[in-house]
Order: sequence, then structure tokens, then C-alpha cells
Amino acid sequence: MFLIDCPYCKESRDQNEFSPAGEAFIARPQNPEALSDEEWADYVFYRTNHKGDHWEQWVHTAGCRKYFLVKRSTISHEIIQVSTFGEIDSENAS
Amino acid sequence: MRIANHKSSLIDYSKPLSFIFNNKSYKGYQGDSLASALIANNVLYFARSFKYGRKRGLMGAGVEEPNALVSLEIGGRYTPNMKATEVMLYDGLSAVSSSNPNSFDFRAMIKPVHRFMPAGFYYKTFIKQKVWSLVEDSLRSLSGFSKAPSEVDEDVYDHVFQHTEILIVGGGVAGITAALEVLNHSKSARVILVDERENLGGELINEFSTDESSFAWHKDNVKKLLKFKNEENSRLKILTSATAYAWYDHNYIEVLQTNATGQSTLSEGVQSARKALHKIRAGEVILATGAHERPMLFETNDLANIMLSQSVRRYLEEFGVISGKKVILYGNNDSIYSTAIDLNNNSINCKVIDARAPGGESEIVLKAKDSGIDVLQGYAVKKAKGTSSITGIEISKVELQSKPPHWQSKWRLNKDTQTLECDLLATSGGFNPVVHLDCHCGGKTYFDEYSQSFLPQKERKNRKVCGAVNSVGFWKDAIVDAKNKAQQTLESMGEVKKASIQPLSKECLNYYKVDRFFTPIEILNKPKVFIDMQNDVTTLDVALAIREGYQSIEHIKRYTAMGFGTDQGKTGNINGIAVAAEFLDVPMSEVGTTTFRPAYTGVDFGAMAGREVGDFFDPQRYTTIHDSHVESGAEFEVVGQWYRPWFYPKHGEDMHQAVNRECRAVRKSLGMMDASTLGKIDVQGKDAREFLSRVYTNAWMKLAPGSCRYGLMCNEKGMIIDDGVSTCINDNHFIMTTTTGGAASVYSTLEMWLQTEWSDLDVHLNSVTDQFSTVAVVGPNARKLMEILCQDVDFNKDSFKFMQWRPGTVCGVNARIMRISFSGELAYEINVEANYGRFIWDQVAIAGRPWNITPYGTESMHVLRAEKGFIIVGQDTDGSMTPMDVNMNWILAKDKPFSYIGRRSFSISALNTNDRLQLVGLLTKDDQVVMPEGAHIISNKGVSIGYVTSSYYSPALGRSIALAQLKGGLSKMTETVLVKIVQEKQGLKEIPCEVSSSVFYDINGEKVDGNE
Amino acid sequence: MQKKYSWYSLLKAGLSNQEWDKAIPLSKPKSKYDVIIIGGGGHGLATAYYLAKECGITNVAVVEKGYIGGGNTGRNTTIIRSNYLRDEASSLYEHSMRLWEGLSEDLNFNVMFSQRGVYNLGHTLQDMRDIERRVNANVLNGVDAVVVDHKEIKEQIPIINTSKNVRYPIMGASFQARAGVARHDGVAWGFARAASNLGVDIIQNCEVIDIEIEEGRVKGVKTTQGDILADQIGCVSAGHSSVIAKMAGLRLPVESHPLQAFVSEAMKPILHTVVMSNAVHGYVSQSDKGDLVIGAGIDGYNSYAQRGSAKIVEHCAAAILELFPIFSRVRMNRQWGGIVDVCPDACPVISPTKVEGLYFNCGWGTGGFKATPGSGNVFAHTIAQDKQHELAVPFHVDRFTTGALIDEHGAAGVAH
Repeated sequence: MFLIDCPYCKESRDQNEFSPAGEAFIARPQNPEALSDEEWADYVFYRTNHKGDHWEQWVHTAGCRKYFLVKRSTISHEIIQVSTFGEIDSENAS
Repeated sequence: MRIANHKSSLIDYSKPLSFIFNNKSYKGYQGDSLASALIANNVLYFARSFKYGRKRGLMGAGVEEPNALVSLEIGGRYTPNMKATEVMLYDGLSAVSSSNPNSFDFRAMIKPVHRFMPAGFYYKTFIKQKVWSLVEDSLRSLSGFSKAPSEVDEDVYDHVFQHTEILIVGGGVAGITAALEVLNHSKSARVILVDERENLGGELINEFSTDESSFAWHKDNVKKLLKFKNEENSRLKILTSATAYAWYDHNYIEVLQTNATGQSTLSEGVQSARKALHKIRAGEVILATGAHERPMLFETNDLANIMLSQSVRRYLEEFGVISGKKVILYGNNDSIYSTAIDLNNNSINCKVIDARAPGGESEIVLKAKDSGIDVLQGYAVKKAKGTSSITGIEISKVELQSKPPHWQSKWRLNKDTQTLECDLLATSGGFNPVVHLDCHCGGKTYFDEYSQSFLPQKERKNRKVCGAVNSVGFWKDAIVDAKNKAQQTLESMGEVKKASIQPLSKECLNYYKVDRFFTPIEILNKPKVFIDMQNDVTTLDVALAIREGYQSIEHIKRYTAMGFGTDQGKTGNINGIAVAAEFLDVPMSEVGTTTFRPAYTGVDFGAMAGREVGDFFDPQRYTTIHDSHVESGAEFEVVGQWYRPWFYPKHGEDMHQAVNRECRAVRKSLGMMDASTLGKIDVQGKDAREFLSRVYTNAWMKLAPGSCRYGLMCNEKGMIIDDGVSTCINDNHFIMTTTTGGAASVYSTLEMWLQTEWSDLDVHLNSVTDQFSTVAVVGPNARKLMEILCQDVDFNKDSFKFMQWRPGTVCGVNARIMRISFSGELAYEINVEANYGRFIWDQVAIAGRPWNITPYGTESMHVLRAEKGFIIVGQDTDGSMTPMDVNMNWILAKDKPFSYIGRRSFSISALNTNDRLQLVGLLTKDDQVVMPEGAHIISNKGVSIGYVTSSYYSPALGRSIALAQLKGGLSKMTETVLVKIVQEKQGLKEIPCEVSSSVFYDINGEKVDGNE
Repeated sequence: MQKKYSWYSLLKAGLSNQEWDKAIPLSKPKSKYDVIIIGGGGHGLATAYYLAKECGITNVAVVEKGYIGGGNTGRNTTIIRSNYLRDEASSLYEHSMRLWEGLSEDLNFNVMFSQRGVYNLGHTLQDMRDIERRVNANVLNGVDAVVVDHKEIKEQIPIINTSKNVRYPIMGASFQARAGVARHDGVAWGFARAASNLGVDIIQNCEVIDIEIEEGRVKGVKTTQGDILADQIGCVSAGHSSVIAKMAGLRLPVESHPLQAFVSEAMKPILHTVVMSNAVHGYVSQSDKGDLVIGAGIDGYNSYAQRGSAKIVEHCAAAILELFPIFSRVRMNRQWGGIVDVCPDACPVISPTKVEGLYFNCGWGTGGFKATPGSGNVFAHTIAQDKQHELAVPFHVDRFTTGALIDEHGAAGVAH
């Protein structure tokens, strides 16, 4: 049961208040029609599913309802960093 | 027997209690456990073992007990599989052995066959499926412990959420010390101290009679704790009779607490909980969980009255009872001497057999010898004698092998044996630190040669270990260790600048010193050397597993069932690992442990569920009009969390009759429906139109204020996920409606798009489902009624057109009136602030009487919409249907600049094949036959080519109608297909149908303006 | 050849204290194999067995990073059924079911396949529509299935709560009589023993750390026990499929999630069949040992740790009490988690890849155990022929590009 720091509420709250919302930094393609079927499928279905420190999205469902970014180890479940969208993107995420 | 004049500090001799065990009445005292009370009454056999049905007595005194399983009480308070050692006695208690040791037992009867039943024998026999299916149920009936409950639990359970800076698990000497150290040195840190026993003190209580300073220390420090506890704004919570049974991520620890009476109690009409499950989020955890003693191994070591040394001591000191008169203590470490001294002090005849050779004796050994206790050093027990309980032991002298094989025991036994008589044997093979909790969530153990045990890893984030779990056994050292760990914890929290650390004493190092695991191979190769008492796993079972290639400790566990019992191998597992190491000829560290999993001790399902059972299992959502539906006698349908009126039967009508009446009323005159459950999302912002254009397939840029539009929503896979009407309030404000069941997921999906992808759009969403009530007024006479109800809106069909809305005042209440229709009839949906819902409903009902206005439910709604071919997402679609599949190409905007959600997928190949399932209408050739929903359409080869999604009798058409998904259906109009009915009881086999348009009624849409 | 298991051999061994052969010989890797199977769970071991038995390829190694059967094979609730909705899925699972029905004999190892039937409960009108649709589809596909009403359920399972006055009353169920449970560890061991008897090497404690690829074709694997060459590699590593795929430079349409289960303390037999309910989220059976075996749901986040959230398990306990209120005072004995690799359409991938000679069998999600023999069988043929087995064709990974999904989620939501 994770304890998650909501970067909007600025409080550590129980996982019960949040919902996971998938891998982070999967940007919707700007021009889907220009993509090949393979590229489109990669966006819709394929995931990195990284073992290790992993950026993902969570939403504070029973709180501020904001989506935000969490860097969490998928091995130890330790949360390494939380961030709002805008603070971090796929370019500057480490 | 109970020891005369024993001054146990925990037994209240002034409060005698009566209880029943296996149908016999006994007496005990307040403070007794069921086990101690039965010892006092000279009861020797508690239950039978799992596999061989062997009669068993007590081995332990606490949660480690493997044998003494009983059920408690009857009826709604019947509880299976309790350990007699964990049940505190109360007056009138009634217990029954899980498997009666005094009655006939089939498993015990087939004793001669036991040799053919080694571990895993069942994998090797009953190989033929038919044979297995014949014998399995008979084998099943032999297994299991207590009977299952047969009645509903009378008691209730609570969940309690707790937050603390520091959680201390274990209320023995280390836990008490750590708690006080924290409270004394921090002004703000909150502490929760948890212990599984009723009283704080743990094993320290055993020291009271021999060491007066221990008694004084306990009294003094418990007093100090209580002072903290009773302060105003106390920072200390003490949870006793409470077991920390599971550790989850981020220091989330679950503790199960049993209340004092062990049952719910009723006070002032409020039922208190039988148990409370504390969900504790702790900043720091200090583990002072102690250690369990492990037994020595020898032949027939499972006879009754072979117990753990510390347990014998605990029964003696804490409860003042003992189960023998002639006691032998046997072990490989100093702890047996403490028990011997206690026995001797109580004038109980005892003798010590120490497996260690003479020399280098510690103080306590000398003390025991000085007090006249007969000590035999350098001897090992080979075998326990007796049929079901112990009558004596065979011992042999221990010899050192000059050149032991690399990892195997260096011990051998001399061939000469002596026999000693005894009626109670107490053994100690060392101590197993209680590392379970620490390992639930990623903690590792390491093997400590000195104590021959697995200790918790030294460093772990936000966690410290102290006392016996840290292999610091002597109580005075445990105090030092606990203070040190508390100091370090405070330092890491910044509560103290630098932790003050004191050294441990020298005796400390001796306390848990255990000689190399004492398991000479001569003993291990004998039959009936039991490792896991509950599951009857012997050393030979482990040997067999290893010989057969099951060599990982996890394989050994799974092959032999070692540690699978309700005691979770607390006494047996480490011995099992030692035995495996011996047979594998590797060090114990290489064998390793099996994975520790919650629960440390059993947790009632009721406690896990807490109050979230029955009415509170899942929220029940009602509209504000609900009471009216109940008063009208409506039957309800559960949709998501909502209860929606399904139909309103009158005067003994069945559903069919009621629905026919309701539908006719709507088509001919006037119906009314509570549509409040539809999801409503308020969409505001200057980019609201753009937003709708992106999430719906159709165009929204030109929808004028005052108008409404139907939208279809897809996911990126191109599949329909929702539909509904959105209303343009003004250029920056829309109200979207969603399906009832889809509301929550649609809302969160939309938020996700906005927040994670389109943060540049000026759009704000709010769920307003609960804020509005919606009363739909439907039927050709709807306009007449609306004109009565609302004077400030012009309802003329040309000024208030279909798919428009108007603000207005309905019976004095501000309303948004939408002219939309899910039935094809003239219809208005009156949206008012939710609290006016019931009022408006009643006003509509009264005003509608001239037209015999009829409330209708979801079933009639389904019939009416099916007559018009309107789909229900989730019924006519199933997450794998595109808009093209449901013949709605018309709703796909061609020229929107933004590639709306799902659009790209429409062009992938599998979404454009001719044999996709497509939504069509089906008309049975016999127009009175209503097909069952879910029936399949078959090809001439008998293969499924589709299925019926919706099927009704249409009162308006006087015939049955159906919607179906049919492969390539849209190009099969007017063809005849067969629907196969496979359920025999429905009589028909195949029903011929004509494929038709999915619009059956009012095909040209002439009804929508209603009567003039 | 190993000694055959039988009454006779048990008797003989019991009388003479004669030693049994190793059921699972402990092999060291050779330098080269025709086929390497990565992953020593049930599916991997079954693949190796059928490669040897049916495809004549015996120069096969199964490499396992821990101990065989230690992943999801030994962590699931052992439910076996084939009453799937879609034709493609039900054909595959029914193929598996038929193999189960002869498996103990085939392997000469009692995997304790117990056909005690499975009820899939329906609690809403839409549940019942879905059940009708699925049962009808099953029957047309030759899979045994019937729809039963709540009265019949009560007759068969007297302890179940069929009262109308509960949050989600039981309206009916689908019932598959041939469905049931099996002894999960035994399945791994039985396949391992039978495979090694045919010459397959089973190499435990051997973790694959890289996949060697040359000119678009697999060459072998690097492992913690050294490099091993192979002509073909089949990856059957469940929750770790993405990790192995990454070594080969591939991505997969799967995500790894924790899935939890728990067992009660053992009691005398009380529940003789398997009961599943999607609506209240729980499934339960009673093992031959007497414990209630209960499956909970998955956590929504990705994880490679074999543990999940307490709330999932606790909600599941509440769900079980909705169905069986008499279990309230029964105690949970042990709880655990596995890592399941979930595909977007809830169906597996049994497929070649862009790398020649490299095949993946993954994405079984929460339902892999029941498919063990069938999955191994079709995967073995797929590898041996270098062409998908007929039943595996719909499960090609390309379906995510073409859109030919096999959506077993079916009608997931009621929405009117």
C-alpha cells in the first residue's frame, strides 16, 4: 500500500485515494494519419513495461483529481520522485 | 496439574471459570489460556495430526503451537482451527478438538500402510484420470482440520486507520524499552506499541521468580508506559492482544486486535467489534518481535508431553501449571538450564541432558549444577519411548568425528544406549528470531553461525530490530539493544542530534550461542523424526524429496508440505532447513529460507472485510426520486452502483404484462421516466467545442447554443465506448451526458486527455450527475403536459424543435428542458436541481393524470429504443464494435482538422473486412416467438456467425423484434438466417429469421413531433 | 528410462526402502541446443515436453532463473476451464482441456486434475445476457456448458447465499462440468520429469542475461551459467517477457501487474466445486487439503515485485463473504502475489517475432494456468515447424497492428 505525495495537494496520502493511469510519456502522435499501422499500434498497445525505475501516471481520484507523474521502482515499489506535468517531460526525465 | 501455592502474577485465583472441552467439563481461572487450563486438568491429548492421525499433545505455549487445534463454540460463534494456546479462557467456553484424539481415526488405523505413503506418494499413484476422480473425494474427506462454520457470523469487525511516527512491534522487554526511550527523548513523536499477548512483558515474565530485579523492572516500566498512555493528548497507543500480521509497501502494517471478550458486545444498541484490524502507517518501525524456540530432533519426537523448554517454563511461570512430574530437559544451548532451575525451585524433579560436551560452561550451567540438578553433558536423545505419550528416552554419548564430511554434522552417536524414565521432555534446539514481518515486504535474512539462525538483514530503511529478534536474548542486554535502536531511530528522524549507544554485556554473547546444528545423520535417517508436526513431515520425507531432485528449499516445502500448516512452520521450518542442509551437504546459508508471506498468524475473513459487508459491500446509489419508485412497487435493476426502476408491476402483473402496458402508454399517450442516473459532465471553457470534437466522432463546431446533439465516443482502438446527448448551453458551456454505467470511466478518461495531452485547451470538467435530477416526459401528449407545467417556454414544434433545449420554470423550479428522445416519441427531459427531483416527478405525475401518464422503467425503455433501433452501449456493443459495425458511418465526421480519438484505427485492416460482426435487425418468421438474448446465429455448417444482443416483444408492432450482431450482416438484408437455441428446456431448436434494418418502428421518424 | 510410477512401484519402494529416481535431474548446460526454452514454469516445461514427444526435437534445454514452477505456476488458484467467449480462445483452451483430461496418464504423474466443475456467477441482467451468449457459443464450439438459475446453484452449493436481499443477488450462472482444478506444482514437476525422461535438460538457477542475435537471427543466450548456443529460442517467461524481449531489441504489447491470492486454514470439505464471480471480484474453491483457495484481482500499476496492495485482498475477502457469509470466522493462512503479463485484449501472444528463430509465448494475464498443456503443445509445434500451429494463428502478435484482436473482455460494462 503506497504512500504517495500528491504534488498538487502537497500531502502524503494513502494509495486508496489514487488510481494508477499507465506508463508516462506516451505522447499521442501529432498526426496519427501520417503514421504507419505499426507506428500507430506501438502508440496504442506497446509498452516499455520497464523493470526498474519507471515513470508512470497516477491520478488523485479521491482528492484533487489531478493527473501527475511518479517515478517508482517496479522492483522495490519505492517512489523516487513525483512531479506535475510540465515540470518534467520525456526529454528531461531521468 | 496446577502447582500448589504458585504465585503466578497473571492468574487470578479468585476468579474460577468453568469450561467444556470435548464434551467434558473442567475448571480454570481468569488468566488461563485454554491450553494452560487443560494442563491443569491433566489433559494430555489435544488433537490428531493431519496425515497419519497421530494423537498429539501440546508442544508450545503461544502462536507457534502446531498440534493443539480446536474449534470454539457453536452456531454463529463457531470458530474453526483455533490454537488452544492462543485462546484465553472465559467462563462457559466450549471447545472441541479439530480431530478427536480419543475417538476412532481411519488415518491412525491404517498405520501399517504409512510406510507406503511417503511425501508426494499421491503424485505417483491414482494416475488414471478415472481412478483419481473415483478416489479423490474419499481422500478429501480425510483431510482438513476443524469442520467449516455452518452459520452466519454473529459478530462484526472494524477497520481502524492509524498514523504514527514510530510503530514498535513486540511488547516484551525490548519493545517496552524502545517505547519509553522514544517517548522520553522526543517531544512530538507518536508511538504505537503492539503485542500479541494480553499483557506486556513477553518472556520477561518467565524471569520473575528467579530474578526479582526483572519483576521490579517490569512493574516500574509498565507503570511509566501507562503514565504516557494516560496523559492528555497522549502520544502513546498500546495495542495488546494485537498481532502485527502483515507488512505492505511504504511501512503500511496491518495489526489484528481481538477485544477483551473475544466476541462482539452490545452496548447501548451499538455492537462493538469482535476484532479490529488496525491499518497502521508508520514513519519508522522498531521490530522487537522476539524469537521462537525450536525443538531438538529424535525418533518419535511427536509423542504427547514432549514440549519446548521455554513453553514448559512459560506454563510454569505464567500460569502455574505443569504437565509432568518427572521432567527431562534436553538441548544444545543454555536456555534449558533456566527452565531446570525454575522447575527445581518449584520442587519438580528434573534432569538435564546437554548435547554439548563438558567444558567452557557458562554461569547458568554452573548455577544449575550447584543447585543440585542432575546434569548429563555430551549426550543426545536418540528416541522417545512410549505409545502415545512419552514414558522415557534412549540416550547415547556424543562423539566427535575426526574428519567430518565437509558440511555435515561433526557429531556421531556412540552405539551404546541408556534408557531414562520421564513423563515430560522439554527440549531446546536454539531460537528462531521472528523475522516474518520484516520479510513480508522485501526484507532479507542472513544466516548467523553463532546462533545458528536466520537473522533479519542489518540495515533497512526506516526500520530497526532489537532484542531476541536481533539475537540479543538476555533481558538486560535486550534493554541496552532497544535503547540503542530507539536512539538511532530518533537520530534518523532528527529528534536527537547523535544517538547515544551503549555496549552490550559479555554474557549477552553467550545467551543465544548454539552449537552447530545438532542433527547427527544416524538420527535423521530414522523414521518418525518429525519436523513439521502438523503436516507429519519427517526427516525422511525431506531426504526423499532431495533424492528425487526437489532440492530447492521451496521445492522441498512444496513436495513435503513442510510449513504449510496453520502454524506456518514457526517451530519446524528452520529445523527443516537444517535437515535439508545436512542431506544436501551444504551450509544452511546456502539452503536459505522459504519466502515469508502474510499472515504471520491467521486473520479472520470477517476482519479483512471489516464493515464492508452486507449493506456496505458497495455503495448503493439512488436518485432523489427513488422513494417514489419504491412506493409505486417498482422492481429494480442494478446498473453500475445505481438502482433503477426496471418495471412498475400493477395488480399482479408479471414483467411482460407490465412492460406491454408501459410501452403502450408511451406510444399512445404519455409516459414518464426517471433518467437521473445518466452521467452528466459539465464542460466549460473557450475550447469546449474543440474538446468535444476531439473525443466524439462527429462535428461540434457549429452546434448552436440552445441545441443538443447525439455523440458517439470511441477509444483509440476505434471501438465504441460510450454515447449520449450533449447540450450547448452557450459557446463556452456544454453539458455532456454519458451512459449510466460508463459515467465514471468516461469522466476520468476525459480528464486524462485534458490533463496529460491537451493542457493547452481551455476546458474544465465537472461531474454533475448527482447535481441534477432528470424527469423524462415521453409520448404523443408530452407537449400538452409541458404546456401546463411550464408557462415561460414556447413548446410549439417549430419554435422548440427536436434536439433543442430551453431554459424554463417548471412548477416554479428553474429547469433546463431538453427535447430529446430515446423512444422516437415526442419527449422532453426536465432537468432540475437534484433536490427538486421528487417534487417535479410528483407534479408531472399529477398534471399528467388526464393523459393517464404512466411511469416506466428500464425494461420498457429498452423495448422502445429497440423498436427505433437505438443501441445500448454494452448490450448491443461489447467493446469490439466500431461505429461502422453498428451502421453509424453517418456519425463519423470526415473533415475535422483534429484526428479525433479512435479515428486512426478505423483504417487498419481488420476493421475493414467483410466478415465483421455488424448490427442488424432480426425478424423471426413466426412473429410471436421472442428469441432469448445471447442465442447465436449459425451458418449452414452450424458455426456461430453472430448472436442476438437484444430481443423483445414489441407491443406497438404486435410482434417480436431483435437486434443482433451478424457477420457481414449489413450486406445480408432480407436474407434468412437460423438462430440456434441450445438450451433444451426452451423447446425450440432453430428459429428462422429475416435479417432486417435495425429500425422497426416509425421508420421515417414521423412520431417525434407528437400530437398537435 | 525412469521407473514408472504406479501402485506396484510404490509398494515395492515401501517394502524395500528402495530409492526413487530423480524426478527432476539437475542438469548443467551443454554448449549448444536445437531449442532453448527460457522459463521453467508450466508453459515452458510443457513446451519442452511436447517438442520432445510430438516434434522429435529432444536436444532441448529449459533454462530457469530460479526453481522450476516457482513463478505463476506455483502461485495461481489452479482453476481450469475452457468456457471462453471467442471462438479462437475457446478452441485453444478446449485443446488444453482435452490434454488435461489425459495428462496424468500421459506424464505418468498424478497432477490431480479434478473435474469438480466451475460456476461463473451472474449478478445483473447484463451478466446473464453475457452468460447466455458465452454458453451458447461454447456449446456450438463443442465445449460443455449450461446456464443454471439461482435455484439450481443453491441445490448444488447449499452454503452459497442466494438471497435476493443482498447488494448483488445471484441471478444465475454458467456451469462447466468438465472444468475444475489441479495441483499446480505437480503440473510443473510432471512435465519436467516427463520431458527430462525424453532427453530435455532442465537447468535451474540459470538466469538469461542476454540474447545473442546475428544478422537478424538468434544465435544463443548468455546466462549466469555461461553462454549457450541455440538454433531456436522460445521465450515463456510470463511477467518477465518484456525484460527478455528488450534483450532482443523488441517491445511487446504486455504490461506486468501484481495478481494476488490467498488461502484459508484447512477445514473439512464444505465446498465441492469452483465458484467465480466477476461482478463481486472473487473466486474460490477448496483444495483437497481443505483450505479455501481464493483469487483476488490485479493491481493497476506495473510491478515486478511479487506482492500487491492490501486493499485488493481485503475487498476480495468481502466479496467472498457476500457469496459465502458463513466463512466470516474462517482465517486467512497465507497470502501471496505473482506477476502477470497482461495483453490489451486479455488473450495471449503465441507468436514468431521479427528476430528469426525467436518466439514468444506470453500475455496470458490472469488465466494462464488452465492453458498450460495446450499452450505448451501449440508453442512446441510453432517452434518445430517455424510456423504457427493452427490454433495459435489468431494469437500472432501482429494482431495488434492489424486490429484483429480477440477481445475476451467482451461486454465489460453495462451502460444504459
